[in-house]
Amino acid sequence: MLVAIAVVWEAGKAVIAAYLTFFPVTVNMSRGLRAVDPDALALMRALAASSRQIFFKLRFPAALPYLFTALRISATASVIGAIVGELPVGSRFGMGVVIINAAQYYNWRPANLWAAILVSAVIGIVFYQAVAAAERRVVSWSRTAPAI
Amino acid sequence: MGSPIIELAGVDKTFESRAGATEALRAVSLTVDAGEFVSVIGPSGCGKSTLLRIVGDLVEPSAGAVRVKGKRAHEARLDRDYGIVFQTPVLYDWRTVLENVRLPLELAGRPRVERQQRPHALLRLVGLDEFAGHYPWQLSGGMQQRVSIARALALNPSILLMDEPFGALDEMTRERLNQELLQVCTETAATVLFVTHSIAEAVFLSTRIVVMSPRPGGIDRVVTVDLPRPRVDKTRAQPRFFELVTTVRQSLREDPGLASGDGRPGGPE
Repeated sequence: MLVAIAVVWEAGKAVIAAYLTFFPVTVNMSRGLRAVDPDALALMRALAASSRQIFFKLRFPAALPYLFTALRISATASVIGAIVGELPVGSRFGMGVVIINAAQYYNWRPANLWAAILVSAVIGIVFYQAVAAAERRVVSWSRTAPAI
Repeated sequence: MGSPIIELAGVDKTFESRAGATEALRAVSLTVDAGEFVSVIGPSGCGKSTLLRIVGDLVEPSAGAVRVKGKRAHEARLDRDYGIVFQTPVLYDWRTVLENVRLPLELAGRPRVERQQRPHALLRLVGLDEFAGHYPWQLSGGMQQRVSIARALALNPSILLMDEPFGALDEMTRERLNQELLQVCTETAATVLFVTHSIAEAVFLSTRIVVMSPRPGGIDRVVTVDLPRPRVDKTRAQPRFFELVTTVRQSLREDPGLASGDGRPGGPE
């Protein structure tokens, strides 16, 4: 029974992390799908494109820069979500647990807390860089792709 | 010339918006025959672009009949009977020059061999084959517009609709592209409807020039350009060229369009 709860709770952390990323990604992507240059759309109409072709050959690629902007914001938000998800009692491992424990023993070993925070920050940066690297690969055609 | 390719009869267009109705076109009738190069010229906001978009079935007329190659404009669009060039190149950023030119062939589901070979042939036609692998933003404005012309020709349409394609270019590039366009039109035997606000450009390119009056746009006058073809650089230096430029300029100045109804639509003068 306890094992089952633990498994559900570990999944719950992922849900919280996903939940924090959901809105920025959805809002940005839907905006990107609609913010298509009217003449680019007129061209598709002039070429008698089907709505399926308009989506895959125009709307979706045009929205990719918006998607990646949202993913970069979300990369750090998801790390925060995962850590916060571990804070309630009951979690047995993860950065959130380490931070809570280190905070309780701060007077005894202050370096532990700072180390935990540093590691969390590094995880956030790594996530961000991973998304940025993916962006450079996928949206390599963009003039505005991030250099960092 | 040949048989009528584009026929407009009594076309009106009124745009409705919250601010009220704007009458863009009133009682426009025009016939373009096969092989003609017809320019539409007029002051800004006279509905030239709207007229072109109505022919392309990108804008619905409020009244009147539009027939393209004897069909309703809607059917002609679905049959991909025309190629279109906009004022901006409208190239897709995520596609290379070659892939942009290939787009119409993909959308029309043309066979693989054609999809591979035709874009190169088209790029050679506009002198840009060596830039096939570049992205649009790596090209100058004039080169981008040439890519856009190559794309418009991809399905070998019998009609080209061009909406101020060289409006954003400098004078020298514009003159060179005018020359190139005429060569391309001779090679492809396309009928062209060309919107512009450059008088010299209209005279140099056209067989007929349609002069439009300001809002609501109507046809003031149709000037037949009797300059010999092929048109070359020297054409611009001929006395007849200057006469025609003056004629068109005066038609634009006089602008009797206010007394609407006397713009004799349709046939040449």
